Amino acid sequence: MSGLADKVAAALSLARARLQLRGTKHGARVRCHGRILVHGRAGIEVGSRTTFLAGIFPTELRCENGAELVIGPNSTFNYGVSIVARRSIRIGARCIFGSLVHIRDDDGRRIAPVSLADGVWLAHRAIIEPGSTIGEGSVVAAGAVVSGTVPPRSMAVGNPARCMPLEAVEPPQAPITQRDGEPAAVRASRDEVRAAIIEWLDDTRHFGEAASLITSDFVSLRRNGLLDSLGLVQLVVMLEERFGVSLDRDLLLANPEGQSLNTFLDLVAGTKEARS
Amino acid sequence: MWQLSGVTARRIAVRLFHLRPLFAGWRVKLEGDVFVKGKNWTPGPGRLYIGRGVRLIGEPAPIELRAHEEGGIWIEDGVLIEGGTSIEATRSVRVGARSRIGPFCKILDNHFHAVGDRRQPPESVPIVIGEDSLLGRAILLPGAEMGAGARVGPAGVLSFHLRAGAELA
Repeated sequence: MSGLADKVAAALSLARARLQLRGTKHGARVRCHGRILVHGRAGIEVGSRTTFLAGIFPTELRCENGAELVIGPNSTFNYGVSIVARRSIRIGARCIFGSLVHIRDDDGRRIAPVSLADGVWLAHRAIIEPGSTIGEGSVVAAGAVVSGTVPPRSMAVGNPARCMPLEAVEPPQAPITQRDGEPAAVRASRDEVRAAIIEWLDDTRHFGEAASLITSDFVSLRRNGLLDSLGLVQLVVMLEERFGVSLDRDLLLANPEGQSLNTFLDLVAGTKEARS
Repeated sequence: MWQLSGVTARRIAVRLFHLRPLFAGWRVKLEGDVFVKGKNWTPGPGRLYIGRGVRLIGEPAPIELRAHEEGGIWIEDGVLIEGGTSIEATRSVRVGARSRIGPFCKILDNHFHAVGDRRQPPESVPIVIGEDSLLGRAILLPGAEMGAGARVGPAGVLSFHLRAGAELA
């Protein structure tokens, strides 16, 4: 019964896409499960096997006279995505659009083309401003506002968005051990490392209150809302860059709940001692 | 005993006319009187528990409460949910009593795509929102926990534990 219902829904989605995207240049097997508002059909191109999902808001594709709005094949759109092109918006293949993503190439002051490479993933309520370029395979986090260039295979977080390599966020495939033959650039004591971590927390998250929040070295950084999971990764990257060490990320990310300041002190100072 | 009280009548009306789809009413457990305005979507096969005196204001934008297979959404007594809010549960989302969820909030307990292999959905992490907490146009990602009376301001993105009474702007 559910198999039959799925087949009917699939056939309906194909028919609905043909109806709603009439007049645009669209490829084969485009599916549409919900409502799409389409304006300026002549300039819109939708690649084959693109899917538009249903939800509480309609998806909006708007293309002014003489502008172009090109969507590559095999992309997926969640509900409420809004794309408005005054000059040019080009989207590559295999992109994933979360709900309520906004893309504009005109913010009322300037008009600049926007281009997204293949395999870009925009999470819920990401906003892409005019003149943005997003590289292949990059991820834009939920609620981020991008204005500028995001390099390939990186993650853009925050408002305004800052980028970090995807490898820093991705769980590593094989355990990363110490790199051989690289001398430690800076020799740090436990106090220096502690000061660096507190300074970093002050700069990025707690604005002068970090020292009072960390009452002892053994307080869990995750449990008390001092640090989110992404922050833990950012902290690891910061320590590696600053002290020229290579931390065992497997060990750190395996049990993120239990990580305290002491763990980091042990790891950074420990690697230093092992080398010297 | 067999009289249809005003409360019961309203419960039936809520089941039949506001919480959709119509024939999925059996998986929605209503504890008492529920005030519903505008359009409310409850797609998905999971369970939905709505406590006493919950207000769902689906205006000007609709509310989406989507519980996936084996997932459940628990909305405790006296919660206010405003329009445009979307809650998706693949395992569990709990909203504590008397909390207020502002307009256009998004609450997710799964990212649905992993950073490495996008076709492989990652593990769900349950979301717990404490009593008397306040959310305004925020995004709650997997792993978000709010203590009692915590607040997340507009444009706030939370994916970690927020202590009781703390505020994330």
